[in-house]
Amino acid sequence: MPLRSRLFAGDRRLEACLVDDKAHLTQGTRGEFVSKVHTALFLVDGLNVDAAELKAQLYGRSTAQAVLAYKRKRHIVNLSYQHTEDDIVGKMTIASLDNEVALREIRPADVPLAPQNKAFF
Amino acid sequence: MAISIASNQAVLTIDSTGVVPAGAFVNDTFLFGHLTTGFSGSDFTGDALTCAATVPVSGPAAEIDRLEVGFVQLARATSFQAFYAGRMPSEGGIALDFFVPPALNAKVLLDGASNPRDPWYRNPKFATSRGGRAADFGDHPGMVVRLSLQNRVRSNVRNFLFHCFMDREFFTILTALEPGGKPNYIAHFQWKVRYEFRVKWRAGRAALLVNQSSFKLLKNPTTGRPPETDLQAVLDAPAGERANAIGKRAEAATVTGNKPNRSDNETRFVTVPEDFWL
Repeated sequence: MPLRSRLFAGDRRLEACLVDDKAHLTQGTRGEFVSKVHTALFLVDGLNVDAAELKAQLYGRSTAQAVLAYKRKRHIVNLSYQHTEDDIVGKMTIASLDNEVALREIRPADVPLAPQNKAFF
Repeated sequence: MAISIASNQAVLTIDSTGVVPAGAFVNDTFLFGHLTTGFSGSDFTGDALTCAATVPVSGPAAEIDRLEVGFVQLARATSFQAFYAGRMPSEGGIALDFFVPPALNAKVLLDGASNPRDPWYRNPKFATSRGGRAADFGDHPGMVVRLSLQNRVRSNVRNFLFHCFMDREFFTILTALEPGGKPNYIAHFQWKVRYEFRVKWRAGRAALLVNQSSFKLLKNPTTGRPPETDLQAVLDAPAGERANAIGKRAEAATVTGNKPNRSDNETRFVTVPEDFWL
């Protein structure tokens, strides 16, 4: 099943990541698809990455740390070859991110209430 | 014998000492524009601009006793906009325009504090001064803007405030009112507040605030009612909901609304500074 979130769907690089081990995202990867992962991490867990990595669309150290935090929180581990979480976006991680982003996309946007006792005039 | 009000001898003493427009981030959620005096650092606590007025009044004591003297204020809502940007261009941008229909349908609003009786800004108290009547006025027009909003066309990712401004003019009018009569506009003055802030974000928090706001007394106390054409309809029938309640509703309608009040965009505005998000 292809990626279904508006953020990821149709992105060839991320679609490949979902099905191909060789297309996993690792440190040093760069491109628009990395920006989408930055957005997803920020969207679902509020995980921020360095402004330089955002600007460069770079899967750098802070991106890797954010990915690791995301995976640890959900215990995303491929037990067929590892015992602990890593900082790579592979098939399981991209599928998990896609699922959570899709759920958030169908929720109405949150609007914090303005203080009602404050003067507007 | 009717009451005689010496409008040309009215004295309005305006005190704008310490009125300095400034901004404060409150609870990492809102940007408050305030006038320094009457602001605690996190909340509005009192008036900023004040005015004390006296006017000689003569006539039968019983009628003078029933005469109300106080202030009526009209607010002209000129502009109020806020702009948000994603951390990077692909996270989009949001524009809010509060002072246009359908969020706000009238530009000139009767102003008031604490649900006063019509037409008053605040319910007048009976006060005398040297054979005349006295009245007090005070106001602290503020601004409250959310620091972030979710962009509806970019997966509800959060966008962050980088620029906002709000322009309002006020016509503050010393007014006498006999029971069952029409308001007698004795004298007025005009003033203006512009809040304008640019925000920069550091490590995920609103951190830097560039303040380009201003306060200005546009017209010194002048006898009679304000002559501006757009004010006359409200001056002729000064009643109804006050500006503060209407403004709060316009704010909520804009934030939760659609174009032309709210526009969610897929890319950032070209005006977003390079160092907006670091």
